[in-house]
Amino acid sequence: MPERDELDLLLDAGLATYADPGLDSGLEERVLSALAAARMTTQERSRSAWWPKRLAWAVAVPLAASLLLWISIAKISHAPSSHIQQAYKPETAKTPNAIAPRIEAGGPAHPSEAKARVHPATSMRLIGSTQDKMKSCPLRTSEAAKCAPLPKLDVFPKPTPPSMEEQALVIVANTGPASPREALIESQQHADAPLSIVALNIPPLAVPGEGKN
Amino acid sequence: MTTDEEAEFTALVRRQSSFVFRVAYAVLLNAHDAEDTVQEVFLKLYRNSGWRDAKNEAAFLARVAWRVAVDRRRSAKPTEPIADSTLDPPSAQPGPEEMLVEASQHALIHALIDALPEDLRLPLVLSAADDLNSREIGAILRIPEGTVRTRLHRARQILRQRLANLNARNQENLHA
Repeated sequence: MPERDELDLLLDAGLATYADPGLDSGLEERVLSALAAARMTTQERSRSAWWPKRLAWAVAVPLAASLLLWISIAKISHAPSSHIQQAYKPETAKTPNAIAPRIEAGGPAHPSEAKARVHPATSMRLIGSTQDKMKSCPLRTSEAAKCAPLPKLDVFPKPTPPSMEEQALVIVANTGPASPREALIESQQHADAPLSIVALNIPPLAVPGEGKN
Repeated sequence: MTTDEEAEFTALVRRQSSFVFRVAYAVLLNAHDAEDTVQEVFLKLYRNSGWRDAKNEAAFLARVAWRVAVDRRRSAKPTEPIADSTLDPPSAQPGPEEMLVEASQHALIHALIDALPEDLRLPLVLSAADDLNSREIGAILRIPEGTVRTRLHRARQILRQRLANLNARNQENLHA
């Protein structure tokens, strides 16, 4: 047993000093300096990483802004403008009614209407074909560009002679008396003028037999 | 980290560096790798601040050091253990002959411990280094408490037997 106790003590002493760096080994100082170096490296890294980040933002933000601007401009340019629609719609709506009186009046207000004045039948046909186009094609310019053209005829149609009524209308328009036309034009010009009513002068009624009493 | 926390962490490094080194050395059997492991352990602790929540400081550090050392050994090439004379402690104040005998005896025991299998060596070092009990060692190594006791007993038995054999051989050599 004494041998065993001695071995135990020897083992305990050996175990106590096993892998012990010792007090003056400087291990703690080396660890602390390594930590300080690592800390410095981390700070430098974060400091150096600051500029590329800022540069990336400086590039990315204007790029994104210009991209958004470009997209919005592209949308606006493709979208139908309201004033075009407004100018386009009434034209189609008014065309048959608005041009007809001018034809009758003989005063073209627009170059396109001059054609109509030359040949009323042709003009009516043109108006009709324009209306057909309006119906078949949407108002949007971008979509109108994509709109399928009207089917082509195999043979170009011959101009049909005006009917009896059309011929009579042309004759009346060209050779008719000027006074009714002028009266019509004048009445249309003064249609919007304020009405003037002449004052009525009504004499008082004379009752027979009055004053005799 | 605030100034107080920095000071606290520095105190922790000064207090536990040797213990972490011993645990790492028990796994790696190399003083340089063990020191690198110590630095890595404290760097990890500094970054994640988990050391503040540890209930048992020694057990927590032993666990971290063991994991880091095992990972380092896996990633590193297998090398022969290097006998590092600087690991031996400075003796108290014995005479030159006694110092030589004592140093040689310690070196012999250290060599015997190094020669133990790792599953026996590590519980032995942990039990000797910071007076950790079997339950704490079991928690560190994730093994049952009974297994820790068995391994400690076996490790001491092997060391005693080998030491006795060496002493007997020395006696025979002296007589011859």
